[in-house]
Amino acid sequence: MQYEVVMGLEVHVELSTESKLFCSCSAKFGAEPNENVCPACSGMPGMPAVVNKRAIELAIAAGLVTNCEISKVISFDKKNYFYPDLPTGYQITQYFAPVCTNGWVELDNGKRITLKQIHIEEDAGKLVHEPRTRMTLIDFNRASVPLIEIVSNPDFNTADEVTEYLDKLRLLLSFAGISDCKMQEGSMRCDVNISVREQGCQTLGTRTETKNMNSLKAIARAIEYESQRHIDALETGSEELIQETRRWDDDIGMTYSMREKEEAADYRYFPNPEIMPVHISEEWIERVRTALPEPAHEKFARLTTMLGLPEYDSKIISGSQSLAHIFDGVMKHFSKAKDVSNWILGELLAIVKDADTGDDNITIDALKFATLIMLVDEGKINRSVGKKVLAAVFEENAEPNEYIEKHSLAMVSDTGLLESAIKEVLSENPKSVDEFKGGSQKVFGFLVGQVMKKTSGKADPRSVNELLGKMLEE
Amino acid sequence: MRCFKDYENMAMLDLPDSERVRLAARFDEIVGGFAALDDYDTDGVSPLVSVLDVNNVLREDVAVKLFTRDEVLANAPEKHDGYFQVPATID
Amino acid sequence: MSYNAILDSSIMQKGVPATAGSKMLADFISPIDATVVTRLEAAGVQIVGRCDVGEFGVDGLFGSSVDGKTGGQVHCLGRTQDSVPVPLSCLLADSEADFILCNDYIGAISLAAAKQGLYYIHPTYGSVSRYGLIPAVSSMDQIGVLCKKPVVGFEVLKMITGFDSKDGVMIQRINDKGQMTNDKGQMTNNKEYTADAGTDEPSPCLKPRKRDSEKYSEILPQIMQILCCAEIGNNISRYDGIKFGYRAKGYNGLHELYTKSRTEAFGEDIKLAAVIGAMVLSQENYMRYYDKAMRLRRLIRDSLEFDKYDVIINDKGQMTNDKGQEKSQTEKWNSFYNLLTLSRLCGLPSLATPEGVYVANTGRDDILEAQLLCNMK
Repeated sequence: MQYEVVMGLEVHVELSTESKLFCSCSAKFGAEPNENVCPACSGMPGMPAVVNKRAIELAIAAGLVTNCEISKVISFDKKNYFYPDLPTGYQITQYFAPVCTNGWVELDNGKRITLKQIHIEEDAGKLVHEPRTRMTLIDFNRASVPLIEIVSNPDFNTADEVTEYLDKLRLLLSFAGISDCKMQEGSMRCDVNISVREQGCQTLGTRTETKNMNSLKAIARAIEYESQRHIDALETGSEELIQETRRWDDDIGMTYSMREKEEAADYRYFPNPEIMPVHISEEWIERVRTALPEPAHEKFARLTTMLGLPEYDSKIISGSQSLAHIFDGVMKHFSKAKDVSNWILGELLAIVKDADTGDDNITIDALKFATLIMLVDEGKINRSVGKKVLAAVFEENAEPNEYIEKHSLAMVSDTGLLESAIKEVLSENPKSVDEFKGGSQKVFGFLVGQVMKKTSGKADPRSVNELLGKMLEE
Repeated sequence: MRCFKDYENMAMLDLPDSERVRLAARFDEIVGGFAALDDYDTDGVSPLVSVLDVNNVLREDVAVKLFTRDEVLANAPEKHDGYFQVPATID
Repeated sequence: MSYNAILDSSIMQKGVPATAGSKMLADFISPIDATVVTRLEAAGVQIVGRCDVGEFGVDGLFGSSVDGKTGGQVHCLGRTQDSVPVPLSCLLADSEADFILCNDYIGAISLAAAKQGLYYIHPTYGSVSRYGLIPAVSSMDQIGVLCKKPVVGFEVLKMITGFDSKDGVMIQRINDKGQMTNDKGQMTNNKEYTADAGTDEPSPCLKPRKRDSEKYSEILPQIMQILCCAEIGNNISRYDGIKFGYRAKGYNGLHELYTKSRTEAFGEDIKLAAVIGAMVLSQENYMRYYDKAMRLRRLIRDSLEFDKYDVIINDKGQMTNDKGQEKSQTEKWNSFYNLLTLSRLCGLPSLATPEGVYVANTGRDDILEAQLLCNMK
């Protein structure tokens, strides 16, 4: 019997704002427990919610990069349920009038994953379980941090489609500065709704929601496991499939039922009278649209077709937000795309690897980087000197010309100086000179190296090769 | 059809029997009075959520630390190492 | 001339218990000062005490009315901290306080004030900041003034009204005379029941007139109960014994911590409100009760003909029923209560006095004051 797996995704993404959604506490990750908390986001009465404008703007941006319609009037609602990580006993979300609807994301094979909606809601706090004391500790730092929930229609059939969609979503959102989308840090979380049906049958099978996967690999594994569990249940009747929420345990590699949190399934949604509706004008949408940076796939197309960069270079540059930003910055001052790409993918990444800042938040002054490349291009300094200057620009934000001046690294190409340096090297290495005259080519490179050392690396390698060759002939 | 006890659970209450009997009776009497609403036609009328016709009340995205952790935890019945504390949850 | 004030316990003062009249918050020390407190103190008012008028101000929502239907006979007693409940008039008489600030979102306090020879001024919804007010029914909560002399009450009102960015639901328009206009910025000045805001002449004529909105009087109490129970139930979900407030002693496990703490700490009316609130919002009942009540609220507001008149008056003196006979005392109190309920449902300013109840158009709190002055003659 052939089965079709049908999946829909609910992706929660933390918006990169300074402050929380309904109070002015910091929304930043990583503080001491309950440091980024005030009476409002710890559930105390008396502090009304006022909406963070930036969160709405980032939600509009998310809608634009996923081809959604942006709603003209949006409102917020209350979702009632009791859980210790939810300070007020209700979550403020958007049930009746979400900010974005009917978007889509295209996979490489052209298949479109359609999005039902994107809505804004507040995150809950974090629980820490103390097995020793059988107690649970609550940290409200994350409570009321702004999220968007991206709800897809059940368009997925394979785990690969899901992981590709999540990768594309992450690129779109991180590129637009909407979120850093880091699954390990929990700023991007994905729940998968899975149902299985016989091939060709129209109605959807029993649906289960699987939660608690913190990496793309874990998601793929969870999907494989859970869809197989459905198929086994349908084929052998060994287990009765019910609509429920299940939790994925990546260590033991299985899902288990999560009765207790979903128990009160009736969330009693109702419009929140404490938050006034938000009208989104065309001008506001246009302002957000023009502020959007070029999305990754468009940049890749521009790099390859218009600038003629090889696909390999374009893929890496357009795949990283910071590299793309640097590339565009340098190209404003220096037009040879291939040179810029080589300097970024070659020299810059080499330096970064030593400084291990990871390749997705490199920052360097674009003008200084361009100036440096021009100096090498015009032969004012050679490439190895260029690398030293690049390190200084990257680490100390040095100004190339000043740095070269200060360390007198300017190219030595005045023939008189070179000739005297070569003479010295030849006289110091009579043995190598005889070997060269005896026909060994290898020793020529050694002699060039000696001359470069003699001129502390500042000589122009081409002129050294020429002069040395002539002088050895005499 | 759900009964009084179901709504009591939703409201996270667990009334002693005597009180439940008394409140259930008042509940039935009051909810009985709600039936009068059915006689009023409201088709095509949109719900009025707030009498105030104001919109776009928005706050600039600026983080401000106005309260210390101690102030936030001052009223906590049980706390530990800067956390609120409750008996273990199930999962 | 500085005044002395008593604050209802749902108005928060930093470092002082804000109990909202509930065992649940008996020792909840407020971390903030309410905006009204800051404004009173800035105006030189002395806060001489705190009281509470019912748990979360719910008295009167289910109060057995004079004729058994609703809130009419409302006892609405107040007590200072741990004293025995006393009529509001005693609260004011016993202390040198000139007024009490409280949140009369149902209208029961206004009615009790009128019955006890006092005055209650309930401002336009959205004109007084709710920052630092323990919420009960967010779509109706509004801090007002209970006082012996209404002139004092209106002076105090001017101290506490005005835009506050910390409350997300406030009127944002002030006209050139510094008066709060309604949110469409309109100032209505119709003749029928006009009391000229500037001068002291009495209003030209007080013809009793059948109000279009009277056809909903029968179901006002039910609409209030549906809307208020839903919002109260939701606004008290935060009280769970975990973060602050009362936590039950004998519980094992998380679920019992919730249910025992809440069951032991809330009074009966609040528990009943929470259960009714859960019911009217539940999936199978939402459209029939809560959604319906919100639609009726729009119909009721739209039935007010504030293009034809400025203020609705229910005056003891000339109240006759359809057959022209004078209404009984009960009927009078009931019609007062209906008018007060109407003002809460529609966010209108109201003035309750021993002689009658006045409700003005949104933002026209000034007309109430003018109406009062010409009646005092």
